[in-house]
Amino acid sequence: MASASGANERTGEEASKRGDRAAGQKPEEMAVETHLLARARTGDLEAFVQLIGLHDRALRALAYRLLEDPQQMDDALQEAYLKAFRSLGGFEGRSAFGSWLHRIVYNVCMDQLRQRSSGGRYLSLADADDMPDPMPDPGEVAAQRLDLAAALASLPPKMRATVLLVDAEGMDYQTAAQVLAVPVGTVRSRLSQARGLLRRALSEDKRGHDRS
Amino acid sequence: MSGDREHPQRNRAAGERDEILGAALRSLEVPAHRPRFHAELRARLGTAVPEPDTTRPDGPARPDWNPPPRGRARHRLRWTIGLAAAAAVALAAAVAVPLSVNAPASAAAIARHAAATARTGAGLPPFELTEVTTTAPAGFQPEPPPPRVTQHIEYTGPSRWRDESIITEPSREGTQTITQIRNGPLIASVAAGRVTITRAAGRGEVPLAAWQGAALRKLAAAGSAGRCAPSVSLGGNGPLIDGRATLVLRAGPSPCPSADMPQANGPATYWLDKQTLLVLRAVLHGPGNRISQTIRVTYLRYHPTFPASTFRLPKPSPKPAACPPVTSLPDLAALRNALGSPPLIPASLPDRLQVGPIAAQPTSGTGTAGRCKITAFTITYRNPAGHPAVQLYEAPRASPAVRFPGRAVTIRPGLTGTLSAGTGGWAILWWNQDGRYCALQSGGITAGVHLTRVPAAVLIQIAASMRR
Repeated sequence: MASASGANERTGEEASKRGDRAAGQKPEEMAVETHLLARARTGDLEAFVQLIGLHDRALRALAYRLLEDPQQMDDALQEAYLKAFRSLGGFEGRSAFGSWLHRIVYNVCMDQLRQRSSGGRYLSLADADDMPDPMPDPGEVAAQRLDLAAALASLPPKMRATVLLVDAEGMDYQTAAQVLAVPVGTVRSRLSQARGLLRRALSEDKRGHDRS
Repeated sequence: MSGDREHPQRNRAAGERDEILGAALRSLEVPAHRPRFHAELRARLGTAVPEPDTTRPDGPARPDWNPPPRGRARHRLRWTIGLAAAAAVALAAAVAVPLSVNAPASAAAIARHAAATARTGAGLPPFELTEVTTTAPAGFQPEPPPPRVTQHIEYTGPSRWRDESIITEPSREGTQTITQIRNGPLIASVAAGRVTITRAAGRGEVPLAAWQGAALRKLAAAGSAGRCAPSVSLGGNGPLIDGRATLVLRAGPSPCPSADMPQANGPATYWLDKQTLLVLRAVLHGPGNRISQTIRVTYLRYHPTFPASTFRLPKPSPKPAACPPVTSLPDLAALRNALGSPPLIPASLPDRLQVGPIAAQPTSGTGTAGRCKITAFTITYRNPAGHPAVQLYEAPRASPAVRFPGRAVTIRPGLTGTLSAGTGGWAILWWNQDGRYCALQSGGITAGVHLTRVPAAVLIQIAASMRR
């Protein structure tokens, strides 16, 4: 390997050029965020609502792609925003506020997924003793030319979150690693696998459309 | 793949591929928030107190508090699961210790053991029990607790029991009955004629924990050793309850008041079965030292004989269909066609308001599997300048939408509503009419739409003109 990071590894600067909020913000946006954050810390609800509004679209995307249910997405985001509000005093600004918020949302979503997998799943009596594997093989799904959303949904949640944070939101590896609470190397390996599977899905999908 | 990155041209190609993938990912549709999301959030934030989290500076916020009830979770099954889960979380810290009640034991150890007994059924013989739990509202809770639950439990062990709960709706719209039967790894839930079978989580909860969230949380806290543990003391022998000797246990106010379950914040008294430590009676006090929850066992028999059919699981209903989140409709005629029954629509609009976007929320029907039907919708009304000003939300009366507390207002003779106003300038007027739940909002953000403000009188005027 010439470089452990590789040419594709995004730095904060590169992401900033793309205008991605999660990875690098414009100075005026940062000023607004800092101002709102200061007001929110004093208990100003409206400032806090505006503050989360700066990141809401990206957080909705993350929560929805992880939970795959709009109601659960909203429930998770409310819970995460409430946690963030309660914990503002513990945020010291050593990481970006957006990354901190992403990590809270990610944690809440993963908690919900864990609760979901430990019980509460609908099943019939007849099926109860013969449950299918809940996670279809990503490659198989992609090969069946399902669309990107379906292929994304077939990835394990941690891999899904990684590709969303880095490729969709433009986070650099270091920030994504902080959000996901894993080493940078893990981000790289998850990303590598996820990209491969998703590209395969895209190309298969494209070929399918070309043929039709 | 890593080999690709070592060649400059391949690196560029890989970078372009990643850009394409990123663009494709960003183009995926993301649902908007549900109607009232921001109003619910504001209400929940209004009850939350920011707390410094100095234990994990700059780390993710996982403060040590129980998740509050979900905003729209006023659903019969979510109630059961949610409250049981809340109790489970609260009790997770309580470590059951072998305890002989005949031997001297500390009040904290008894509290801990009683909480663990209620949660896990550890050490309980088979029993049949009827109890009534009443819960008073204690400040605003997004999911108001049911004011009264009468629970009949037939229990042979943690994995074999039957619980029938008759629940009074929070807004006293009526009662509903939920039956849950646990038989081995499966739990059947029967509500409104619908049977759902789920796999029990781990060892699962015994049904005692389902409706006594505040009482058991308090008991568990009293048995813990943390800084949030209230004082606890034994009050000697209590009266006989249904022939059982009791022990009185008292817990002081919570040093760490909870915003999501304020019923447990004040002092509490428990009357425990001396032999099994089952809670036979409890009185909890909330804010202002008002009684916030009472538990009263009215019937208790140990070692009863149950018919074999008691724990037989019923046949599950078909799975509910997965429905699209929101559907836009072009006009009121399309809305009328889409609904199973005629909607309530304002007959006249004051202040030169005009009908704007109409969005419908399909839900799966309880009958045939695979059918989605539209039962709830929103209509946004624009002011003469074209800005969204008022939004009407209408759903079946039993819908899980949050009922915001507020002051009662007369919409017209024979029809009253509740008007609530938030700090963000929003106002919501909600009421029940002809079996429908209706809410009008002005100001604030709902479903991603910023609403300008109109006087409350305008909302009342619109509500008064609602007709089928």
